[in-house]
Amino acid sequence: MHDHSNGGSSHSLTSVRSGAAAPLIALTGNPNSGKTTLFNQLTGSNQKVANYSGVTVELREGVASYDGVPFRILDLPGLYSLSAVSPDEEIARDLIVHGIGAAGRPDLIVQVIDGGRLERSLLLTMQLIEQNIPIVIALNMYDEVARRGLLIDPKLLSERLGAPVIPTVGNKGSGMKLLMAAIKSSLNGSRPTPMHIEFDPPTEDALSRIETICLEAGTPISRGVAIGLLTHEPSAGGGLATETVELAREISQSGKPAIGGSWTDAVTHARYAAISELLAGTAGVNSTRFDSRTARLDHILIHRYSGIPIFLFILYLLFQATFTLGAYPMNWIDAGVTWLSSAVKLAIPGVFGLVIGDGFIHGVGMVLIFLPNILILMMGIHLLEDSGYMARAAFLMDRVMRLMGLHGRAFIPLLMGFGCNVPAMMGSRVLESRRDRLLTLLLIPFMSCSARLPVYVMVTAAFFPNHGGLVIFCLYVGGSLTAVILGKLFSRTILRGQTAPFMLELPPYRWPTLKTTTNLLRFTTKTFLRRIGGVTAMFAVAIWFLSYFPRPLEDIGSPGFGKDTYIYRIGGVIEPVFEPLGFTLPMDIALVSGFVAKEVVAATMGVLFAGDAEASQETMVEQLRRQIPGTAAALAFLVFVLLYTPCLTTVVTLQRESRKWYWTTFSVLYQTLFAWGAAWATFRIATMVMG
Amino acid sequence: MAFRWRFGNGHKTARQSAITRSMAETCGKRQNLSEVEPGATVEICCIEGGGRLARRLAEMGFIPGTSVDVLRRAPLSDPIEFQLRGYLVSLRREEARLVRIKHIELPA
Repeated sequence: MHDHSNGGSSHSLTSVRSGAAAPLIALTGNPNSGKTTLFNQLTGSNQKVANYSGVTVELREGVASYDGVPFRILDLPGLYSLSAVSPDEEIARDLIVHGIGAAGRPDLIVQVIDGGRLERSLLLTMQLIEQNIPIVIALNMYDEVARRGLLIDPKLLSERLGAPVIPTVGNKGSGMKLLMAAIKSSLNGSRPTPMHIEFDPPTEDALSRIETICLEAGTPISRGVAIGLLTHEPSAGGGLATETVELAREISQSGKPAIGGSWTDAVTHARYAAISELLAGTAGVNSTRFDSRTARLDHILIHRYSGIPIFLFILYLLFQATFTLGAYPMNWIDAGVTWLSSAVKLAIPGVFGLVIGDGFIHGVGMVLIFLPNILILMMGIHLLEDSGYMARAAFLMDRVMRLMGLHGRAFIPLLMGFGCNVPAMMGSRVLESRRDRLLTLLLIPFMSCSARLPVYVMVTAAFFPNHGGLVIFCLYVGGSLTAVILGKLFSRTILRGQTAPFMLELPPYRWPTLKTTTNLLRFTTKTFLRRIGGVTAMFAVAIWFLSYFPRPLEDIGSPGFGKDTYIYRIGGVIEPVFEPLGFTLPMDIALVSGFVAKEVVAATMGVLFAGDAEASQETMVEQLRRQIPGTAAALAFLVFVLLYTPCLTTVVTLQRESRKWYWTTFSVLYQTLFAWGAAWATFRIATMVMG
Repeated sequence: MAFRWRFGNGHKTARQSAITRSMAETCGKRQNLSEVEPGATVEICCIEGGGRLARRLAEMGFIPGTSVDVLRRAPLSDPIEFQLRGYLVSLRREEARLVRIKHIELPA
C-alpha cells in the first residue's frame, strides 16, 4: 500500500540537468571521512573555488574526466545528518535537498564513508537515498578496514543498499578508476532499486497523507522531504506553499507513532534498526571494535595527568621550531636581499635603481625572509590537524574554552588563527550557534597570525638575540590570554547566552601523507608570494615614493631620505598619538600602513631604513637596533602589533561572516584602543623595571 | 534485490525488540551517562527531552539498546569520552545527563 512512496510520482523529482553540459557530482559524507583527499585525487590540479550565490562558504569545484566524459565535482562541507545543526551542515544540506542558485541539485551524490565508522555513516546514506538522487558510495580508508581486521563485503553491501559501493583508499589513490566507472554507469541510468525502509503504520500513514497533499498542491515531494515535514525539520518546507506546509504540520501534530515518543524518535530508531539488520552478514562481528593504535595513543595523549602537559609541550615545540629552525634560511635570505639591493643600485644608477633597490627589493625582501618561519608554523598546524590530534586538543581544552564562554570546538578555529586569521574566521562555521560564532569571530584577531611573525622575529632578533623563542612564546600566550579575558567579559555583557551543545568526534589517529603536506606547503608559498608580489610590493614602492619626495630637482637620484618628505609630514600628524608608547616616526608609519596587512609593517620599515644614508652596508637586524630607541619601546611595539587589527582582509571577512557592520566597526575600534592601552602599559612597566 | 526493511513484520531482531521494550519502560529514575565511572560499559535506556540535542544524539547512534563504553574524563573532568558503534565521541556532562542508562557492566 505504500509502494508509491518509493517510486511513481516522487521519481519525477530526480534532478534535472543544469544548463552546463558536464553533470554535477556532489561529494558528501561525515566530517573526517576523507572527502577532500578523494576530491584532490579525482580532480588533480584541475580545481577552482566555486562561487555559489547565497553560499558564504567557499566551495571547491573541480573537473574530472573518465572515458573522455567530463564531470564537475563539488566538495561539500562535512555533515552527519540532513537535519543540519551548524551553518556548514546547512550549506551541504541545502545543496543536496534544494539545490542552490543556477547550479540546481547535483545529478549524482558520492557519499564518502570511512570504512571504520560504517554503521553510523549509513544513517546519512538512508537519508540521501530518500532524496531520490542517484548515489554512489566510496567505502574509503579501505586499507585501514583490512588492517583493523574488520570484515566488510562491499559487493553484498552494494546489493542490499541498491547503490554501488566502491572500496577506495583516498591517500593512495586506489579505487578511483572504479569509482569513476560507477559514477558514469549510474549517470547513464543503470541503477538498481535502492533499499527501502517501511516505518511503523502510523508513520507510513502520515507520510503518505503528506505526500498526497503536496501532490494535489502541484508540488510533488520526495520521501525525504515528507519525512522532514513530518519531523518538523525547519528547512523541509522550502519551495512549498505556506498552506501546504501548514496542512503537513496539522497531520504531524494530530498523530503519534507506534514506537518512541515522537516522529523523530520513530524514524531514527527504525533507521538504526534497519542498519543493523542490513549489516548482518555484510560486515564482520568486529565492525564495532575500535583500532588499538588510537586507544594506546589516547591513553597517553589525553590522559588525566599527562594530557595537558603534553599539549603545552607540543605547542612550545612548534614555536621553538618555527623560530630556531627558521633562523638559518632566514639569515641566508637576509644576506641575499641586502646583496641584491646594493647590486641593483650599482648596476642601475639614478632614481630607477633606487626605486627598485630600496623600494621594491628591500621592501619585499623584508617580508620574503620570513617565508621559512611561516612554512614551518603552517606545516606544524597542518600535521596536528591531519593526524587527528587537533580534535583531542579541543577535548582537552573544552573546559578552558568554556571559561571564555565558548565551545571546545571553537578551539580549532582559534588555533587555526595562529596560521592565518582569515581561514580561521571562515572555519568558525563549525560552530553551531550564531552567538558562539560571533564571539569566536571577535576573539580570533588576538590569535597571533603568521603574518605578525616577521615583525616578532625581526624585533626579537635585534633586541633579544638569546631569548627570541621565549619572547615570541610569551606573545602568543599573551594574545591567547587576552582572548580568554575578553571572551569572558563579552559573554557576560554584550554576548550573553547559552553555548551550543558539544558533540565532538575524535577521529582515529592517522599518519599525515606526504602528498597533502607538500600540497599545503606549495599552496602556502604560492599565496604568500602572490600577496607580497601584489599588496606588499605596491605598498613598499608607494612608501618609498612618499619618503623620497618631494626633494629639489638637482638632488633626484642621490640616495637617502630628506626629513621634509611626504611621509614625515604624514607621520608628524600621527606622531603624538604614539609618542606615549615610546615609538619613533618610522615605527608609527609602519604601524599605520600595517593596517592593510601585517606583512607591510616589516616592508615599510625595510624601505624607510634603506633610505637612511648609514644603512646601506648594515643588515636589517643592525638597522633595527639603531632605529628602535630601546628595549622598552621594542616590547611595546611587539604588543601593539600583536593586538591591533590584523589586516584589511580580516575586517572584510569579519563583515562577510557576521553580516553586521556594527560588529565589524566595534571589532576594529576596540582592538585598536586595547592595543594602545596594552602597549602603553608595557612601555611604562618595562621602562620602570629596566630603568 | 535491494534490502527492504519493514517495521515489525514477524521477524524482529533482538535489538529491535529491545528498543520497543525499553521505550515502553519508564526510565526517568535511572542513572544517567554522566554519573558512570570510566571503564564501565552501559546500555542506553532512553534519551530524555526532545528538541535538537536529543535528535542529534539519536542520529549519532545514541539509541535505546546501544552499548556504550565510558572511556575517560578529560583532565579537567569535563567533557567525557565515549565509544559506541565503532567510533569515539565526547560529550559534556550536561549533555551526557540526557542519556539514561541501564545494565551497567563495571570494569573488572
